[in-house]
Amino acid sequence: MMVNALQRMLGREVVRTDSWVRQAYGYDATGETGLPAAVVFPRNRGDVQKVLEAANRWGGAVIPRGAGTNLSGGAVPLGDELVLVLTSLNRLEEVDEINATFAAGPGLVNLELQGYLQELGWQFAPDPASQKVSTLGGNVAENAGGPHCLKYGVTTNHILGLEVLLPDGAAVQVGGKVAGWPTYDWLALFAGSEGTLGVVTRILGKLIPLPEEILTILVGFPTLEQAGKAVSAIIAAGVLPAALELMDRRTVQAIEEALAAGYPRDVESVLIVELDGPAGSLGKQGQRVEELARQHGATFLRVAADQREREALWSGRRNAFACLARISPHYSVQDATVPRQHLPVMLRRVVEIAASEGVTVANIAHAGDGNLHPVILYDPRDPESVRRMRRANDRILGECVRLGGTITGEHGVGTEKLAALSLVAGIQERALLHRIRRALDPRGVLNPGRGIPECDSALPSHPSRLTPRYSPAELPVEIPGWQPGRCVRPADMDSLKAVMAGQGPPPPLLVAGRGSRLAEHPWLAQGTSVVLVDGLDSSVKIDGENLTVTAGTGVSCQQLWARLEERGMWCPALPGPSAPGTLGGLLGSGLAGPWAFRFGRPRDWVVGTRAVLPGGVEVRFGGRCVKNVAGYDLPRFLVGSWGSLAVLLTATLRLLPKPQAHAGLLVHLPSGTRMQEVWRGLLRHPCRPDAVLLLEGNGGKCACSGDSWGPGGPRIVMGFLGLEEDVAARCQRMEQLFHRMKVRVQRLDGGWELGAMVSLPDPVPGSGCLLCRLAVPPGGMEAVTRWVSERLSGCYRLSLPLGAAGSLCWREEAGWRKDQLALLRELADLVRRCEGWFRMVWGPWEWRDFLRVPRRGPARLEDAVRRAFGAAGLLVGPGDGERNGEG
Amino acid sequence: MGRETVKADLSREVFGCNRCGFCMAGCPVYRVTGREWDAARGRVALLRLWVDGHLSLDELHETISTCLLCLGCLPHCPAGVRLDRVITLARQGRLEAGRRSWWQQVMFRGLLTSPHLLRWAGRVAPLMTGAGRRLLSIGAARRLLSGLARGIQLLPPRLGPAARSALLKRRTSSPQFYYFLGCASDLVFPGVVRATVRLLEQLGFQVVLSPRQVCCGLPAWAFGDQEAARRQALANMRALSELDIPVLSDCSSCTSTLRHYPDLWPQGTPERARAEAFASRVLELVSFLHQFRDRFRGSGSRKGAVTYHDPCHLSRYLQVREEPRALLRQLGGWEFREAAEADACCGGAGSYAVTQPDLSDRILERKIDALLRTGADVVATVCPACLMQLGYGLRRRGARMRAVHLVELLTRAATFP
Repeated sequence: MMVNALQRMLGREVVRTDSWVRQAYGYDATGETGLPAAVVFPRNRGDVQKVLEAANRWGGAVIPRGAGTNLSGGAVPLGDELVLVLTSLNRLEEVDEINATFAAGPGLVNLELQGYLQELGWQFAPDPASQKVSTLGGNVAENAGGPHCLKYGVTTNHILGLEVLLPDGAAVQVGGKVAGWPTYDWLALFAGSEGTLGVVTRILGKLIPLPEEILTILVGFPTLEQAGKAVSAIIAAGVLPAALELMDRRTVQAIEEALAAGYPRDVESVLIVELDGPAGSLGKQGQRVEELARQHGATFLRVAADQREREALWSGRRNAFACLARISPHYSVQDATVPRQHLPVMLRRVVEIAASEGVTVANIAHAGDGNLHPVILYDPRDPESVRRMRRANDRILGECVRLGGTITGEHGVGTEKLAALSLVAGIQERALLHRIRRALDPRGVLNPGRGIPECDSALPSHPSRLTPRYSPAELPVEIPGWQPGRCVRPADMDSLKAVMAGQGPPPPLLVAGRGSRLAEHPWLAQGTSVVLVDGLDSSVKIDGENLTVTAGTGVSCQQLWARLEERGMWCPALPGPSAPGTLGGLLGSGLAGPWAFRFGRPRDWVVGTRAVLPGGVEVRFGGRCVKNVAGYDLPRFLVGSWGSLAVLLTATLRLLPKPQAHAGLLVHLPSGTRMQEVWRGLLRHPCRPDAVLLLEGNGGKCACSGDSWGPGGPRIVMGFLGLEEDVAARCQRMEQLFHRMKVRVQRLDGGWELGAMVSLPDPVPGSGCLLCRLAVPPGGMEAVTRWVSERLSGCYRLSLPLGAAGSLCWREEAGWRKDQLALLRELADLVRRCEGWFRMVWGPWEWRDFLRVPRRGPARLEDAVRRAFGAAGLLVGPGDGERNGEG
Repeated sequence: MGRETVKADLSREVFGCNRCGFCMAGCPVYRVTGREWDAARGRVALLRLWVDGHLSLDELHETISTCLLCLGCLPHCPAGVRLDRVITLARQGRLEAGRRSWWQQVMFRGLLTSPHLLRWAGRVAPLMTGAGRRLLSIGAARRLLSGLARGIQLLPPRLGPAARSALLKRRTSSPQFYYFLGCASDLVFPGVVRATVRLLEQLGFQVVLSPRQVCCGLPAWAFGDQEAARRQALANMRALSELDIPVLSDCSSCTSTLRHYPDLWPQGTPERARAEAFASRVLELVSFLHQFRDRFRGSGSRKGAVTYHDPCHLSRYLQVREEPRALLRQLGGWEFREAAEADACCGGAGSYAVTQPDLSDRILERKIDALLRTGADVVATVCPACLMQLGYGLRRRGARMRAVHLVELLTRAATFP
């Protein structure tokens, strides 16, 4: 009935029901098959919408599909679904070189995009092995990785915005050309959701410049373990290779027989180490890698002499599966991921398991990420061989979880790992995942039976009937105009759980740490009860070999910074050595540090969390692996949620070895400089800095701190950090770039102080200052700075970093008047027209709501997710202020 | 051969497919349609279902007939599945089930198997085309005879007299090569034939055309009429074995087909042994000319930029990719520019442009876009079918770029002591 109606609506060419057509969409790159009810070839977004609406109306199910290269059975119909083929929505809509973004349809093939971009000197970082056929939509849905994600990160780190059709067909836009929108991190939720939450119809992605120089080193080791240890050593030494790939003897032999790519045949394992960076900066790093490799027993070492040799080495790696297929055409690729230091053990276990099950296995791994792809060769015609392959796979996963790893690093859960998900997610976790899914897709329209297992949707609540123990507390900061209700500090974990079960102060509750960012809280409402959770867990456990830290959210940022520094590490999520507040406050607010342009925001560094849900249930998501696509990416999603969904107890963050050197440049832009030209030159430069900040001020002084707001006129601060030779080289090249533009460049003293300079202290509330947060894409910065300098009187400072939210501080000696509010509104409109966002953080209390972030598209998403967490009514969250009828 | 043998052969050919989907990267049809059944993985999956009895070949008519046989998928296929064999087997299966059209009968069993009819065709072709063009200037006729219309559009605006008769009239005392005359070269590009023959002579080689030579057999083979292909192969092997001299052709498709004659018979048959001996005498023109590359450096005055289109039969069936580029790179006065997806099929694929005009057009559009992006003045290739298709695509766009046979450029640049 639904199919007939759709055929009438869209035509028989679009909605195909011929048996043979349906059969052709009954499989993906895994071994299973099924039969859909019909196959739909939408020509545009409208068609997709109609299909979703029809499925809702008639209770059908829809499987969105790109190229069908799924390795976890996610695109195989279970029966009677509609397969929605998105390959023809493959237009590259825009390449915006000033803002370094592109927009494309979900059907565009990854490698085809790379082809267009390369001609312009850009790239899109995610490069899954299937990139020559897989589509961007598929990459987003699976949160794809690839060999180069070690340095550059996975898909979720490289998308800025999405247009999504929700399961009922409603279109929402999330994100945009700037980062850090003041709503939940929808990109984190949709990336890796395996098509269970919506159909992506447009992708806005980040462009990064192509590297100038590439150095590829091939190293051979007499054992797998030595290779594994060398991997950890290289990363611990502060060298961050673009790729670190490992292959074992069987793989190498297969490659050499088929392609003669130039690998050594007499070693047990080979590593491909690829470094990239500015011209002339790689020599020393290369030497360091060679030294480390030799220290770990390397018996073979060769540096690719030229492009041809490098191509040959990579063609071996890229065609590794192909070459193995010549031994036996049928193989199963596993996707186990472990903390990096366990890689050698896991590699050995894989070999042992294969031996005891009597199957042939070859090991290929993205070693830098701890992501293994054991390839088990089998014969589909022999049921015993299939059984043994399955058993070996199960045992490999079990072993990997035992070592603290996860069941899938980049291939997804699909149908194949639905059961295995319980190895890493308990009943509560699965219940929450399922509730989130149901909240967005109440009728179960999208991808039923895959991605997230069915689970009793009632979240069990905290069983304890103890009265919570908590002491009344003083609110650590005072926010003029805001009258909180009761303020308490739970004494222990059980008390917190009881409070979250509703046995504490009257809801809605506002969760805070030490309150240092409280004034910025987007949903302050009069009379709200405040729960301070900074005293609960302040443990710090540093895993030096895996380069992660697991810390309680009660630990202060300064303390955490100091502990990391002792061990010679740092975490780019932390704003600097003297950042205020607790880790919980930092993650709750999600506000980025100065180095966001290169290193992203806190959400990009969180890989695992432990949290208490409303109802008092404790859950864990993620773990210690740097790649993990088992279930929704909740560790990232909770960052920046301001405690409106759950209370974070601990978080696991990725780390980097402490940079050897810092450097900074300050550029005063002479009047009349075309800022567009500056961005155009800077953003696509292979030596571009790691921190970039545009400052505009009129030379006043901040009343509260006495800090100078700097001299007048726009200027750009640039920060560099990393290995000494790399920093020096890039700094020099940037100076040359500005000299060519005839702009004077001044060197700044290095050190973290530069970081402090980049993240200038914000004035405190009550000082007579007004603080706004805003993000403006580079293309709009000229217009915004000009408007600010022409229209604002009094004393102001505008700081606009790349990659994160900026701020506008403004003080008017004569006090605030209504016409100044009109000015702010005008600015907010201008910023929105420049495709940025604007929000007043504080100022006169009665102005607060005039400038509230408009809850447009994502509003119903926010409400739905809050219901799924059980947070609505218990925790202060989006929309609460409005319901209280303030302003 | 019965239908069961076809099924058994097919099932052997498709066993290797692991459904990784990487074949899509090389499939020109999938690239423009994005439909699973247009890529090798889909075709193979569906034909497996036929072998297992779940689908009939009639249902699979579309997927069987839309393959270009360009083998673009092969370099991407981990297991090395030979889609050309899979598809021709399926087409053979369809013929054996009695799905044979009258025009195929006329073509494969009649015209293309008879040297006399081929000579006659050469005489009437220009007249027929002229009449055809006049007929098709009437709108109604154009709509009714869309296949014919498409076929005529493909032809260059002016057809010269066919090459066969003139070539047969030549007297050579002691020829060193058989010149294998392809049907398309003969009828559509007689100028290319003349240029090739002249070039070979200038290099000091006498060539001869066998009067009993017929079509190479590729059309019949591609349509699954293996029987007709065998007959033509036998006729050619007989005709070209009177003298024990190598065989050369200006058409890559013909050359490739002659080279692959052994595949027409199973291992161990006497015909296969004969075909193997014959195939070893077949030389490939471009690699042959490459040995004399010093003769083609030409003069230095700038003539323009040239790009190259790989004919499928040359690049993938015969593995000749570097030689034509090397020749073009050193060609005096010409700047060589590599085009994107230069080895992707142009959508000509013999009669594909006539049987699947829509798909062929879309594939061609992509090809022409890639060629025009190079900004070259000339695109060179080594196959008359590609020449027709590219020429048509460029004319339709009103592009300044011209499509020429590689030999035509070499002839102009050739210097002889």
